[in-house]
Amino acid sequence: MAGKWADWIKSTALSHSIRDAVWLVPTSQAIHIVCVAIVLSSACMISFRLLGLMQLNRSVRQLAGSVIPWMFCCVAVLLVTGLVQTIAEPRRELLAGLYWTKMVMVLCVVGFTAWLAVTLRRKAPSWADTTGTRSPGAARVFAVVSLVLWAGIVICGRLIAYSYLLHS
Amino acid sequence: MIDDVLRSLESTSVAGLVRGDVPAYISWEGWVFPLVEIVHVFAISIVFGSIFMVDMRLLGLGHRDTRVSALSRAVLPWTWVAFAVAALSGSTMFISKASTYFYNVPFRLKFLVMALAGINMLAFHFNVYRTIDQWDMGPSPRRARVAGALSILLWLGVIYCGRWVGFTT
Repeated sequence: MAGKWADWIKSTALSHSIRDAVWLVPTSQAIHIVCVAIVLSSACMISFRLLGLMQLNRSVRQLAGSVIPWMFCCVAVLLVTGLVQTIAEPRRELLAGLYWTKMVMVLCVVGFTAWLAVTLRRKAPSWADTTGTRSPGAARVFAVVSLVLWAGIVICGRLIAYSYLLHS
Repeated sequence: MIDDVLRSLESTSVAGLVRGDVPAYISWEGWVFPLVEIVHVFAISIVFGSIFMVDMRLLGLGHRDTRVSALSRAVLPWTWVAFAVAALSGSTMFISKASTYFYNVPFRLKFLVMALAGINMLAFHFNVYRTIDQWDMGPSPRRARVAGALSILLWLGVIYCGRWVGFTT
């Protein structure tokens, strides 16, 4: 089923033209890495701040307010550059279990981050407005879970290229 | 001369391990290089991302409610740790095919651009950063904004060259 889809995508004119422009896939990968870097660093800043591991005299709300918009911009660019790579080599991507694992993790972490952004904007709990303190349990769970998910996404992403090792 | 050095790096046991020359009874043949790559990706992500945060502050495009010095103090220690990890994982990959990488054009270009990023950082630090007390909270002076913009551009160049290395070796 996924194999059929992959073969169909590969036969399209778009897939051919992406592969014909040899610079396009490496360039989209480089942009992908840059966005991963910004997202990962932003996530680390928020999580470390929630866990009280970063010495920054700034409330969670201020920090999240400056980095979460960047994260969502970068996620949008990541989807586009990831799509370019998927259309270029659909079999390598769509037939890899790691690819789908990664996508599920992306959905989860984007959802969690949106939840954090909405919570901070709407209710503005008192812990979010104080500086230099550790946050309550739920926020710390968010911090750890989102770090684990982002790390898993990076690991799966890099390993998609090596999926053949799993089957050999 | 240099070729002898490169070949002796390649013949070390660590280099062999990264290349995948492990005894057949070990089942993780071929996995060492991707694992080192993953470490490298994490490290360069933190290097670029953390520098990006400070540069955006210098440009006045982000973190405007934070002092430049406070943001630098919170973020830059992580940059240096990540840079050390990137250098170590990078060296590990380098020695696995030293004589190939050494003559690879994108590889050389990457280090040239990284050197420029280093010079830019030193120039910023020993020049305009000395007067930080005057602009720590407010908008940065023009020279600091130029340094921030150059820093982002040069590190983008480093990442781009780095990605090309994987396609040309």
